[in-house]
Amino acid sequence: MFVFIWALVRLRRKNERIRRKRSALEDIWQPFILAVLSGSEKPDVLWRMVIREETMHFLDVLLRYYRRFEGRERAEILTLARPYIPELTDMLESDIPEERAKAVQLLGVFGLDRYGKQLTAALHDPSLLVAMNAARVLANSRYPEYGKYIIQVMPRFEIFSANLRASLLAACGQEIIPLLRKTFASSEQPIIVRRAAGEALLDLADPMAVLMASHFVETEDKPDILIASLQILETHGRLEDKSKIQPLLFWTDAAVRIHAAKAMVNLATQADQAILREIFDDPDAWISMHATRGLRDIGAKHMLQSMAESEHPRSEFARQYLTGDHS
Amino acid sequence: MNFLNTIPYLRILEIVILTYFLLLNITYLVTSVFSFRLLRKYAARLRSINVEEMLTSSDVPPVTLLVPAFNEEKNVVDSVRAFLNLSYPDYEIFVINDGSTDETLNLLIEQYDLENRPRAAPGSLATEEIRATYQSREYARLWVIDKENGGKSDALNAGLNYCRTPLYCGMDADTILERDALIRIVRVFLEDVNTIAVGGILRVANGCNMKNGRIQEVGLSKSSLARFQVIEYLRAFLTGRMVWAAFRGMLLISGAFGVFRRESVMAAGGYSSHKNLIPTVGEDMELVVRLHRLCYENNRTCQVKFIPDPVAWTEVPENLRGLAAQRDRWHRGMFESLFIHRKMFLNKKYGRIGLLAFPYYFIFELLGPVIELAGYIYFVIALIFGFLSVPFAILFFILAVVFGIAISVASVALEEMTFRRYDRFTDLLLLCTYTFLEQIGFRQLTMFFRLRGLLSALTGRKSWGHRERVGFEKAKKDSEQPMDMRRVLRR
Repeated sequence: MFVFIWALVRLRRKNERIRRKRSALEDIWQPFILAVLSGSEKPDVLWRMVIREETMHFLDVLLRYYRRFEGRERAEILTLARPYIPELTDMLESDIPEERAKAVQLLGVFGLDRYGKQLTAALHDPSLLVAMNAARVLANSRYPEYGKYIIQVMPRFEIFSANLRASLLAACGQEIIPLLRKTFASSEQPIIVRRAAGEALLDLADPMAVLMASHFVETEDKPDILIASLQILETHGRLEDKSKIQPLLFWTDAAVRIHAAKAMVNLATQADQAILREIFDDPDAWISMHATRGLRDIGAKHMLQSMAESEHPRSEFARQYLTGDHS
Repeated sequence: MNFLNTIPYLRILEIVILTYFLLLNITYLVTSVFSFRLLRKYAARLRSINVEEMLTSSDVPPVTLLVPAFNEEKNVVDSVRAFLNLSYPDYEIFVINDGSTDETLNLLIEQYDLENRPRAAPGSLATEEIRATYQSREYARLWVIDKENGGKSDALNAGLNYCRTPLYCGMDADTILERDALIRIVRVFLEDVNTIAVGGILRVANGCNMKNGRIQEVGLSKSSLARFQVIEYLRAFLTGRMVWAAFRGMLLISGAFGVFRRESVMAAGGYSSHKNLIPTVGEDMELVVRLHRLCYENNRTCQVKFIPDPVAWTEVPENLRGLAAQRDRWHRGMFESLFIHRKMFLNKKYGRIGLLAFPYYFIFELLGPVIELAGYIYFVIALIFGFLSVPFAILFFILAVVFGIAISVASVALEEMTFRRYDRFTDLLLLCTYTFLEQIGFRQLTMFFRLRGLLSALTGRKSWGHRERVGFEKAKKDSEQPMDMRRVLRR
């Protein structure tokens, strides 16, 4: 027992030593890093100072600076990191997934230009953590051509949330839009990939996506595709899309109905009072809420008034919207 | 020895007691070793991802904080200020004033410029009557739901009815969340769509320096009771929950800090309260067990997880009365949760929950105090009457005390190896000292309180005692409807 406690105390001492040492190293490096960034010193001053055991710590410090600076300073930081990149590629071969993930993270910042091939290969790493890290760094790179590789491995990310998948693709930037359109339209692609592509098109505000969505709400029956299409129509839909959305207000899948209601509400005009009143009776309370909001937005005050005064179990919604709930 | 030989049952009792302690300690030791590996792996994982990047990311889902408050006038303003300062892109705060009889509501109205503002409630869980809803003119994300008194679970159900975000965080009004706690805990939901609930770590706030609702400096309280509880919390969270979550057998997410998928909780019927389902004092555990049960019954893959880096600081009782009431309540809650869902016990239909987690909780957590007490009583009686066998005495001492210390030291070591929140060297030494002291007095005391909780659950006692707040100068609501066992048995 006492040995255990003695070991614990030794561990604390060791931790403190490491912390002090790291902090001292950072204090030594900082003025030189700033001098290199300002151009008053050459990078090799620092290269001579950092010994092999301190490499990872040095890269972590550089990563902090990299996030803080932009432009020319960032380029200088990349130069400072350059001699240490080969060590990161060695780390990619580690048996420990977390080490590989860390290597991908650092390589994505410091070695993207030269190590794109290794990072693309990391998309197929057996560890999902490593693959996701690789997808993130590739998506955030300045090279949209990586988008196609991310789409290829997207089914691996099935477990991740739909938003995360879509934002990953959207991060690839405007140049990837043609590929996203193709993916969204392709019936050969897995459903989750098509949905992610559709939602990424929405994030990227692609005008063509509206036409595709408008077509899909008429022709598709897969809930994921319908939801992605309805999300696009909710934001960018046109008045002529209303008639296509209408049948989906009575779809069997509640999630589809909710998105259809949201899209309908955003496009509704005075002429849609009746349909909004009808979906107010939907078994799903969220749809009633959207319908109430829609009635308020189109100024159907009399209808809301009569709903509020009725014995309807959700008359409270109408009452609350009438008295000023704008949430 | 001769006397003992004439009473063979005593020998059997000795074996039962020693076997129990042996199994318990082996379980703890195994979980400590597993936990060590899991925490190291987790720490390495954290180093390989960028939490800050996630914070600015637009793909994090909105979250609602549900904060039930009953007579929290002393701290509610500061607590809400701390909630308003969280680093999270999109969240709402619902303070649910559960019929407070003090100035809680008026203070909130005054300090946060609340105006009466109707809000539609999409949920329809049965709760006590809602009097009004208020929104802050100053902070649009802050809402206060004023309702008739109905207890914590009823308040949570009321909050759930108004919640419109896919995730919500259930918490206590006196819990202090670290600024990045939400983003850290929500990350788990993004990384696995099957996740329905995630618990974070609760740490003891007593003794820490706080300013503007934030922990400025971590330290140990001067109160011995609080120090013992620091060790208990480290053991429970860093060892127990870490491992149970990895085994997919976690039955409890603390009501003081846990994030849930709203849809799953609503589908399960919300929290048990006197107005909804079966009343229980352990609504947090009962909900998690029910979620597991429904997932198995509906053949759905669900994950209930724990991660050790999102931190919530909570105040623990510093007097015996408060501690007794808390342990009594926890043990009753556990009994009720296990009893309500007894169908799951050793039922292979419920997978590792039924075959592993349930028996563990039943034997080691629920019946633990009974067997432990039997051991102590036997030890004392045998000593007095002179039939204490030396091997039993030695083994009992080793298993009940030495192993206990070893496990506690291991928990402190896990903390030191991973998060190192107790920066001062003296605090570390104090924690080590208290791992020894814990075995003499404190352990027996909590055993007694837990036993009392078990007895009160069996006898259906009508109150769960008094709960006092010291550090945040709070006094909380202390009565809640107990579960009517006869009613449950009839079901």
